[in-house]
Amino acid sequence: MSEDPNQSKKSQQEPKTSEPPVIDIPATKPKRMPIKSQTTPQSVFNVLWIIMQLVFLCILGMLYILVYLKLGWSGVWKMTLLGTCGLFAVMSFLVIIGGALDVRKLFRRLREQENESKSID
Amino acid sequence: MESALTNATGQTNFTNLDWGIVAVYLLLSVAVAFWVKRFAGNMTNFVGAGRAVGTWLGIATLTGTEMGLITVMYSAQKGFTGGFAAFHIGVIAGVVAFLVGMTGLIVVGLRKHEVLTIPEYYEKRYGRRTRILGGIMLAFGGLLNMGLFLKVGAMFIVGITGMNPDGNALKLVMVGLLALVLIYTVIGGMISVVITDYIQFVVLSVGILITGWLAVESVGGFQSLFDEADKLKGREWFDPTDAESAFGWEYLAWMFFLGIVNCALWPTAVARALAMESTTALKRQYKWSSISFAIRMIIPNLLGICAFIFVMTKASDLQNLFFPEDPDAKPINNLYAMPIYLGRILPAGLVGLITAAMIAAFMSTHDGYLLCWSSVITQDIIAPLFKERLNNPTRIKITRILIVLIGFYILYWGLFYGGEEDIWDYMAITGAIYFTGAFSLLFGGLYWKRASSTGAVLGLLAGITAIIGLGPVQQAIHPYIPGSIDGKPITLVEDTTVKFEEFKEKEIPEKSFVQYMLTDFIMAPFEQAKPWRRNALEEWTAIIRQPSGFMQATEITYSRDDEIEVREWPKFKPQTGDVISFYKPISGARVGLMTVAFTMLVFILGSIFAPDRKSAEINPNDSSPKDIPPLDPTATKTSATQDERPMP
Repeated sequence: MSEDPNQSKKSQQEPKTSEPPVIDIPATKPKRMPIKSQTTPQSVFNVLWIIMQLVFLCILGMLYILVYLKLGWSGVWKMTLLGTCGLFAVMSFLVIIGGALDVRKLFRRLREQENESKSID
Repeated sequence: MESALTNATGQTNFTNLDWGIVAVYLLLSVAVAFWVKRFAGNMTNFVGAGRAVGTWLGIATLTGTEMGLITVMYSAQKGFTGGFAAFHIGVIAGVVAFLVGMTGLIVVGLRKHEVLTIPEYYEKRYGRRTRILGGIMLAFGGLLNMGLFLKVGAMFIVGITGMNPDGNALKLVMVGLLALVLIYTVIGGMISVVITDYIQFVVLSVGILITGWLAVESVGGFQSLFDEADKLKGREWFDPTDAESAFGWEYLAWMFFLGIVNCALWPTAVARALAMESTTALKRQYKWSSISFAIRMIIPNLLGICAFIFVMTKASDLQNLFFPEDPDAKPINNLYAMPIYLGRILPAGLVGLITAAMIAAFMSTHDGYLLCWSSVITQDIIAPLFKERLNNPTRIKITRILIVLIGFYILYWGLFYGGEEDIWDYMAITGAIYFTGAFSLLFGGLYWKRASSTGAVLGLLAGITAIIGLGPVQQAIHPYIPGSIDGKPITLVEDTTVKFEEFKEKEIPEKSFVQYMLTDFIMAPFEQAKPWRRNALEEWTAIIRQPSGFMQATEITYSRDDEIEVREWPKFKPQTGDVISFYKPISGARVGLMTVAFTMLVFILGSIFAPDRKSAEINPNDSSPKDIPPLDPTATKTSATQDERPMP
């Protein structure tokens, strides 16, 4: 018995009836439904951060009122003087260190710009 | 009195070592300018330091610019006259700066549009004519504002170093300081400004804290400082809301508005914001700088308070200078109090360091201001008039020429201006010419879609009314100030007492409730005197006019229905037949607040009744300014490309 040439190879290799039929799966990937982001949006953090800062200001304000009620204006200005001087001292330390690093960075960027403009010329 | 001043300044601890410290510091500043010169190639680098300033450097430069010698001097003056109550100015300034940093009010919107100057934003939002008018108003208000900086700075140096104030020392110091500032601002632009600001921050932050501590020690310590102040001045020196203090609620409200202006509208501060690398860095810069905004007022206030207590308790020679017992003697300018005091309490070496830091503060303010006003005139007045055909090298050349011209102008103004206003009030009022209009335009432009160019132009023009706050202007227009009293011929003059035809009590006509409400509302800011009553004209100003037209103004100390007594005759003794008129001076704070309200009203009405055909909608949160349709598309495009073009 000669083989029919038009007969497909598939039919030749037909699985046994006991085996489950193999379904030809298309090559394209199935479309996935977009997964909803589980992370909290950035805007929520921004709002929370603003609220935190407002709360900080309110607490500071209440502290001032308490000091005013206890010690009067003299107490308020004593607290202001000590508080701002202390904060300024801390800030100065940070700015002196951080500023030096920023100066270095600024010059690096300006040098890069200078080199770029030279290479364009 | 003048030679007594020379003696007082002569008792300083300033030595040759201190001169050496000052000289080394100044040479260092000029050397920095020469070193960074090669980077100032294009306009963005020259004016905005290449928009590459990091947060910490941004804080240093913002503090460096805002904590200038002029600030130290006028804040010390406020402390000297107003005591601890003056601390409220610094507290309000700090809180407002923090709120601006938190919300990004105005500054973030401007930074997102990537403009170099505020009028450049006006063009994007309202069109070219608004930019040119805005630039003119800004330059006019700003140049008037910095007119007295040089003189006040020179007064500090003369006072602390012990030079002879009676001779030409003040003028020579002014010329020297100006030359120094001009050299390195013209050469280096914003980059040298930023670097010297940083050096200044390092020296000044350490120096000012040590000076504050030594000042407190000089009056007997922390507790003694408060006790002495209470003993000498009482409640008025502590409570800023007290009617007897130098301030009051109205002043507090004005300071709140000035707090917004100082950090969000004033071009020198905004220039720093626009030079930041990102809006996040900008916000952080403002939050941290809020401490500087507070401390730049509070520590100089403290120095002024300590100077007052020192003068009153430990230096009788100075007490006689500032508060002479002889009623005919004129007290010397209290701006000298703080430098003379520091010259006496600081040891040699430290006094040199502090002087160097203060000169640095002076220079950093001046360079920032010179660069700011000159670039405003170049970018916002001259360049738009040339329809943006100017190339970068030409712009930089024009800016440099303008820096020199403005320098000569402030030298002239400092030498010849004869006004006697309080420095802080003078600055607030001259600045208000610009910032009252700018507040409406920026706030409206960024947050109100219907803001129109007609409203903007009207708002800017309405800001000119702030000039009424200046004393000489009020004197000139006093017949038009509501509540002023028309001229009366003088019948007799005796020493400082003047008699005239008596005032007769007027019967006030019956008015309806609505009329009363309307009159009261309009006339609320102006005092309606009843001059027939005893002392009703106390603290008013009397204007005496001779038949030839020559006039003088003087303060009234006592009044009755047919006579007044004045403090002094500043120019001439009046004669029978001269005409006397009266008006109540309106405080700078009141004029400022009224101008803010008036400007806002004009801007809103102008925008509602004359809207733009196609209003440019700008969302301040939109980070892509390229998409914003300018009213004149060619203008902005050209300016943007030219800004970035490198120098050949």
